[in-house]
Amino acid sequence: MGTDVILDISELGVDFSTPTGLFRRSRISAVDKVSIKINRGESVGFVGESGSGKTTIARCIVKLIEPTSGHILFNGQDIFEQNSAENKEYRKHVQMVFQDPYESLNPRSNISQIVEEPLIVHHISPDKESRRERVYELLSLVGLEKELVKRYPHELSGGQRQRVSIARALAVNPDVLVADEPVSMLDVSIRVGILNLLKELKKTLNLTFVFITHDLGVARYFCDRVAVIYRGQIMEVAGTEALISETRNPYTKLLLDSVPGNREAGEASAKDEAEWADGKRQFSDIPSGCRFNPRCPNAKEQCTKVPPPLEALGENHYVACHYPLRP
Amino acid sequence: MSLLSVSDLSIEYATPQGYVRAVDRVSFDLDEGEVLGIAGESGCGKTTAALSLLRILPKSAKVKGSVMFNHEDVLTMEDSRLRQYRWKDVSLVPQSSMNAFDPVITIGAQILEAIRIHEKVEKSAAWDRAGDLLESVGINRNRLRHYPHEFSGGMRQRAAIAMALSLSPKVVILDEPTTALDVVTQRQILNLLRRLRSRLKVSFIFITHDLSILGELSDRIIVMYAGRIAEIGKTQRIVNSPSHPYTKALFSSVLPVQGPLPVVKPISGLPPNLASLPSGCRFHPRCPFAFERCSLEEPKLVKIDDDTEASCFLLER
Repeated sequence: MGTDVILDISELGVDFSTPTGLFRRSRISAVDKVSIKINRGESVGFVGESGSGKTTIARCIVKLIEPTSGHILFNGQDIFEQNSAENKEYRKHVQMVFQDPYESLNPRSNISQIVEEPLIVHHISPDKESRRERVYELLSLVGLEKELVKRYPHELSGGQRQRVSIARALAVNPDVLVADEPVSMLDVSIRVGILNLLKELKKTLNLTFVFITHDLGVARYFCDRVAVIYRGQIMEVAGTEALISETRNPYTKLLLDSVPGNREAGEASAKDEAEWADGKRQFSDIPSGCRFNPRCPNAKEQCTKVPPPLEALGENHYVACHYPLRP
Repeated sequence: MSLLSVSDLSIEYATPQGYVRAVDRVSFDLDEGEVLGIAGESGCGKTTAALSLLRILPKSAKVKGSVMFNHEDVLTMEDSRLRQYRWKDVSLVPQSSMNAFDPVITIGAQILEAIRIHEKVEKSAAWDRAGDLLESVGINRNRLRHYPHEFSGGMRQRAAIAMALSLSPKVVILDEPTTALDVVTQRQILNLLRRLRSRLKVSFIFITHDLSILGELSDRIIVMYAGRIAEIGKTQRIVNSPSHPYTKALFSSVLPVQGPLPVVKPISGLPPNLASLPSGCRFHPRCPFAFERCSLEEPKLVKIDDDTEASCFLLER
């Protein structure tokens, strides 16, 4: 392996400070000791509910957030200890596609200007002519017609806009694409089109993907490996099919059961709902022991006391649970 | 007997390109206690059709056809009656309603306002009722004094549902109520709706672009395409053996988590621009089965069995 690892995230921790009173602030740990190695050419999904910290991890990778602790190594180099030249270079290697194609494109720029901007910022194509060629090339790469260059984002459909964001991200020839819920705002009918495009790009450009989603169906379709995140910690990591067919962590099971079409799941999440109902659960207080224990149907005494470590339970299958499910 | 009966409903918007028909000759009935799902891609007229049932479309919209609520004509209702009809008879949980709460007023006060505008009740009685409503959607009543930002997205969505139920309406229209939520929260909302429905004898009209949700919740499904009904029928039938190529295409774009991964195909192209509709069947440019006749004539709804109708030439005879 060794040289294959493109991103090495170790013991990543992010604390946010939020006001809890007029002058008081408290610290919330959004990401806690997350470690995962991502190989070149691989697509790794981070799956979890809203507020699980999955987007925070993604934002650390693209350096929009500085972590409180831990490291991220890109090709062996710590990305938070770069000088400004290295920083600029890093931003060419790692690009992001945002969740909301309605808000992540400048409404005052036309498509050509949007896709061209990274080429100017990074001094990739010095003259106008070559930049225009490159814009056309990028648009055809993402399946858009070049007639669209003079259009503005509001004239495009959601799917077309997301393709423009992808073209913009690809402009600098990145190695890694960090995609934050790239299809969750889109109609079900066009999601597959975008996912197929990303799959295709992954193959032809040998891209590595960090893919954030709350939808295990989407993760299953796109990701080689999935890390399930709950309240800032990894609960389970495995190859996608193994994660789904040999689920070991009760939280992963809750996520799977919640997918529409699983009627029995109504019962599975009953306890979870009761917990929600009193509304006592506060984001800021983190339960002792396993963070999932108040919602877990199998929680026992140990779970409320000792946080479970992430342990290997099979080849490339890691689980953080004292009483893992039998597959 | 049907509670709400829509027949030949057409809605046109005035736009710079002329009149655009967002809803075209749509007819359906809603029975008491029924959950009716309306599915289709963005821009298929689902929301426009639903909002017209409450007469809250913008003034530029021209509505034709009829909407009858309990034998009463909604489209010609007097303003005073209309104010009662909205919310007391038919209420709405609008799209992204979880972001529609006033951020500087407590959730309780907002529910209270809705109740007291429609009914002469004492403040304390209305407050109690607001508490009961919150509890009926699984939120503790001591949260009445909290502000919207203190609620999670799922809780705000529940609160919006509670508010829509505050005057015990007979019909609640839910416009994409789970679209912005994650799967776990979505599951909770679906379970909540199922419970409410069996307890309150209320009918729901549930609008979504995700057919997999309707499979679980609704009794009947309407699939809309470019302002027209492509297929209408019992949920079981539509889920197990969809007839219309568009319905089939919508189902084949759902990504399953369990079972073998089928060949998933996106629907090629986009829904048509309503200002320049294709000739013949509106779906034919995207339809894998289209033949010559499809581009010349418009198909009518044909009966497939007692409860199912679909508009496609392939289904005729």
